[in-house]
Amino acid sequence: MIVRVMSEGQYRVDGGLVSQLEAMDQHLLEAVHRGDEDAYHRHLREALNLVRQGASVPAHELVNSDLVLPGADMTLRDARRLLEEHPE
Amino acid sequence: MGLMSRMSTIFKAKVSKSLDSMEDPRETLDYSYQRQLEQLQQVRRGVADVVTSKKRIELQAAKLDEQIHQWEDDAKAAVAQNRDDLAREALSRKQAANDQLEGLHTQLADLEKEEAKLVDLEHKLSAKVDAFRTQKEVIKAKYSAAEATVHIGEAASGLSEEMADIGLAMQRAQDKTESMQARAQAIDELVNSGALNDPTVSSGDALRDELNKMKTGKTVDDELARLKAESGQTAS
Repeated sequence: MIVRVMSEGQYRVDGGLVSQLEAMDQHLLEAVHRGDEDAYHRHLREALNLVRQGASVPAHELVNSDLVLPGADMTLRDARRLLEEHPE
Repeated sequence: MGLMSRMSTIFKAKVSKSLDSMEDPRETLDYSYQRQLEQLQQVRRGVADVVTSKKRIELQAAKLDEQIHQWEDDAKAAVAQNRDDLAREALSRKQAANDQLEGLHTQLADLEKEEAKLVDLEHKLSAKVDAFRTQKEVIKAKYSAAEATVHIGEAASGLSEEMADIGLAMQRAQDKTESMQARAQAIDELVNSGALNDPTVSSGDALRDELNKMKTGKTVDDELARLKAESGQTAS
């Protein structure tokens, strides 16, 4: 599975990590709804660390991403605004 | 849907689908490559613009710093002439501008990081465009139209993703430089007109503004006492 970290690059991540990432994704969303800044940054950091364990996609390879993660510097406020601007 | 999955959907919507309608992609490969080179040029200009804006803001900050020192000198002169009222005014302008300038320096440090990221992304994009050039030659030489569609589709949208990513990063850096320019401008007005309640530098919270004003007042008293002590006068 290819995962992009915004403003950073793509990683080739073991498909077996999908369920772990999905669980983190849920925690992340809950943290955004609660407005819990600490939890938000902790879960985002966990997800990014997991993805970064994968191999970085080399510069000469052109592939699509299956999942896109915000960069480490995305604030809770930005994340909330994003969700409001693009309702499901 | 979680945050990342939503993010993925939003991001992918920004990725161009321009190659979908192509009948024989082999014919348009060179054109696509030309477009990519143009976009890469635009990205390079964009990065250069961010660098220029940052330098301009740095110069403005340095100039403001000088003006703030000037207020300090003015306050000293006022104290020497026993004009506490003037000294107080000079010191409060100095203090208010100083607080704002500190904020600007923090933002500048932040922009510095953003700039480094943009330069890195630009290098990556450049390598990807080059990879596309190689792939297009292989595809033109080896594949039929139908096969080429499959092979080029992923390469083109992979590159398009890269463009979308750098485009968003660029937008963010530009928004930041704009807000910093506005801030530098507001400080400039603050220093020159003494409009301490300038709404453009308000925190947006009346209580916070009031507390800041109180703190500034206290600092002004302390600073005045310091200047008086330095000039051998006793604080009143």
